[in-house]
Amino acid sequence: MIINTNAAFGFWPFQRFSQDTPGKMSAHFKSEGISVSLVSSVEAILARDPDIYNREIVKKLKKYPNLQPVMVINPLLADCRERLNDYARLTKINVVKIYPAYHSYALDSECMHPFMKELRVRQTALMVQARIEDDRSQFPSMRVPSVDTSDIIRLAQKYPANSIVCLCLSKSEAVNVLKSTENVFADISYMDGLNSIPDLLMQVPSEKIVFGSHTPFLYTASARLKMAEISGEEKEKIYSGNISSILDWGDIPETF
Amino acid sequence: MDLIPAIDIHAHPVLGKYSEKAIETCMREARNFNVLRMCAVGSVSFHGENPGEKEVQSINGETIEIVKQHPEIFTGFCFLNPNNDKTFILEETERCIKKEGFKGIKLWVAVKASDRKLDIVMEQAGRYGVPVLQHTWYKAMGNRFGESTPADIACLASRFPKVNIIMAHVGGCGIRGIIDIEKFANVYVDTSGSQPVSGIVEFAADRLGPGRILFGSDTPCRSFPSQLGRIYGAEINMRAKKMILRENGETLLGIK
Repeated sequence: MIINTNAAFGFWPFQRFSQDTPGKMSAHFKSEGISVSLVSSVEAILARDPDIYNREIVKKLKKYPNLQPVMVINPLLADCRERLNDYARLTKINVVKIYPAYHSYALDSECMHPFMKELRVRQTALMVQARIEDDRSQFPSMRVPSVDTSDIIRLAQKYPANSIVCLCLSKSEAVNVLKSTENVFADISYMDGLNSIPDLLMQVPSEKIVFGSHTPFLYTASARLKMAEISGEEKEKIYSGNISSILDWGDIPETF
Repeated sequence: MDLIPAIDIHAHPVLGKYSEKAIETCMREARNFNVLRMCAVGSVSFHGENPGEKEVQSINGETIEIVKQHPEIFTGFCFLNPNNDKTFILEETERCIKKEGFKGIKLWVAVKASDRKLDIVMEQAGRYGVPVLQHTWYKAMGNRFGESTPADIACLASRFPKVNIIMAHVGGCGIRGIIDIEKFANVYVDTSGSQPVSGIVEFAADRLGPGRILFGSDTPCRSFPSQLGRIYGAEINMRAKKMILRENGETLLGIK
């Protein structure tokens, strides 16, 4: 079974996506052999209040059980706690995603404290999107920095009971973060370089790695091909076992 | 997944200090992903952006050694710095191309492609009938002093219409870069450059035709699975994929 931890659906002004309807995205992931993808709203990345887009994506994906919506939270917003209440009723997956660089706050800012506490109480995991695009290839008038890995490390160390899944870290960033923390996991979507995944697994335990493709920004095929470099138990853990444990899914049905 | 045989037009079997182990890893991963042949373009960054004659000789000396040791998988490209003396450029191209059978010329970031200093390089490429692979990028933060943009490539292509030019890193050149060189039939693009961002290969195939696209990995900066995923994942037909992965490279290099 393959669970894709890193996917999004919607309109992005800087790139045209082939998977521009939920039906196409659902079929695409099926053709790639992926059972379930955790999908957040692309529009929510650039929205001051992601709520409207979160609700939209729940509706859009409703007919597609292989696309499970993940809610985007902006902890700067005063109604963040109420939103978590609402979203717990709307979604099946106990994880939320944040885009600190796009929503303009630091991971050590005051807004993070009540947010992390609330997530801990709810036993909700946190996805931190480290970047969307290579900073060299961003739209020149819309340059957004990546999330600093030292900020992620400090956040994880300050809140050791929270599970944090980092999306789109480079391999060297992932090694740095994962070696410095106990409660952080990373997806493979942005890990690159010769022999990248085997080399990564020489440096960090496979329990800390999850499968993610960063579709539709990147080709799903690249993430799938990277997994051909490993086999056996490690492969199973990265494809589904680790994320199942993080999200406390237990036995995940093949058709969600 | 059935892996399509490929020729990699842009590989650095060594990038940094010469290492047999690095070369072995590169060849092993290439074999794992059915990359039959790699164009070894040199450890271009080892001596900085503007290497002297002895440094260029040393880089090419390593490539000669690599090709001699593994002729079944590596084809040499002659690395040049157009800032070097003309006599040296003549001697070095003669050494690498005429004597050692290298099949192309590689240029990095010492001089922009629109600079007249490239004239001697292009004349030599024309004389020996080999393509010139030029590092190219449109960077959001601005290019380095001597780093070429696709507009520089267009200028060069217009001045030397009979010499084939490979604009490296179409992933970094993007949509604008493809449009810049579209009307110059002697310009090819290689598929490397940054992460496997979706849509660029499709756009290039649409505007340039699949016959002007060559698979390039830029290994070891990037991995074969990550970069092959651009072609495997692109929404183009199988005929186009086979051309991009292998046939165009064989034709351009005359190694069918």
